[in-house]
Amino acid sequence: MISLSAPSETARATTPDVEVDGIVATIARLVHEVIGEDLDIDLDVTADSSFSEDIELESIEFVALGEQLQLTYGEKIDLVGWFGELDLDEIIDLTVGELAAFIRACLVDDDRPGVQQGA
Amino acid sequence: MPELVARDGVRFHHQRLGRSGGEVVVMLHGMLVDNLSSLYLTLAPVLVDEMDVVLYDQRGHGRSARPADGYTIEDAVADLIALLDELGVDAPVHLLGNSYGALVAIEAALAHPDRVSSLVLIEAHVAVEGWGDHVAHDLELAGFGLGEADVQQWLDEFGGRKLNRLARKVEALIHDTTIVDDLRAARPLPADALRGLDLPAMAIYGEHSDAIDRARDLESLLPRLEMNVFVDCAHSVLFEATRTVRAVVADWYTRLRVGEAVESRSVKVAVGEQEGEGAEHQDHVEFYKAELERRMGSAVTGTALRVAARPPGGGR
Repeated sequence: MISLSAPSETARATTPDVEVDGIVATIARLVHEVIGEDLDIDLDVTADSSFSEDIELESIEFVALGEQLQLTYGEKIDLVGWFGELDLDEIIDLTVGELAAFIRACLVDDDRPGVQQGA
Repeated sequence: MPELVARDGVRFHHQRLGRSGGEVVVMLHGMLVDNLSSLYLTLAPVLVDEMDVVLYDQRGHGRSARPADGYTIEDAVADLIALLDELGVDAPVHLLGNSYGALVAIEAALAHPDRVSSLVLIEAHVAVEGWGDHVAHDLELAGFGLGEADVQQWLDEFGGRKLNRLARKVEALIHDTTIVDDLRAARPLPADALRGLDLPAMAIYGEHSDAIDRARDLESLLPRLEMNVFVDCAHSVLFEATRTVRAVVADWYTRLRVGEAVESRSVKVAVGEQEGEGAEHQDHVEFYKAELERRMGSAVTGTALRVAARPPGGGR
């Protein structure tokens, strides 16, 4: 798993929900916003949900989700830079929890984590 | 969602990433099931440190509007120029296109040589004699049967949200717009004009691609072309060998920036571990295409197999 250090005071001060659970909840809310027209579908978004298999997010919706996350958490969340370090398969297989862990690590530490192979 | 309104009030979804003040590269995605996400997730990330990267969903695709008409190649070029105007970009830009997007890039360079400084062409379609009929036929195949009741039932039961949305979008684009007729009317690219295209260009093709003949056309016509043929890949080379394509594209722009782009050469590129498998993929595509053609020919109700057979974002 990705190792996470304690959130810095700065991150605490500027962002209320830097704990992974809070970020997962925010991602879940934004997923519903992005999906929009299909809101009536029964969709349970948890940390274990994969964007492609479970949530069935289209890649263009994933881009829109990233944009919303950037607006929520700020420029420090370098999603595009992170995508450049991942294979397309790895991006497609991402789970909500992995994305939340990446965001948390960006907020508490400038070192970017990667998705651990085979994790 | 960043939007621009250009030409006749059509709304375009765009994303601008990377280095403000860097040279602008505009990325053009492929047709039908493709949108800006395929380039956003693959090539944009490796260029953002050095370049000002602009991506947009072409008319009728992704999160842009889907007007009823305006789908000729000339329209696509006019959309591109109008968007650059809206963004206030009047210096020449680098164009990078995948599949149909690469054809739009070539046409833009021919029509507006003062606005384009280089071309990266991935699996470029080149409008040769008969291209319009060919691509119109492929589009009709892709849309064939999507509105039929039993296909709808199959999609409802087994398709899932993503495939259903994809099918709805494809059906709407093919049946509710003039895209098929507009592309059928495409005129062949003028060979003399291509020979006169005096700008650095780089092309990538999969060796098993159904468009590999176009690689030969480009090589014989573009005077300043570097050709990279990827071993064991097909038309979806961007998705089959993403890491290697990233490396080749980033390297080319670096060489271009320092004035060391190698022109007029052809290279065979070996792909990395777990990349490739293009030949097998191409077989699947050919199989489903033949199956659909058989069904369409015998007026038997078709299925959404053709759509299902496509890789993510692997549009024409």
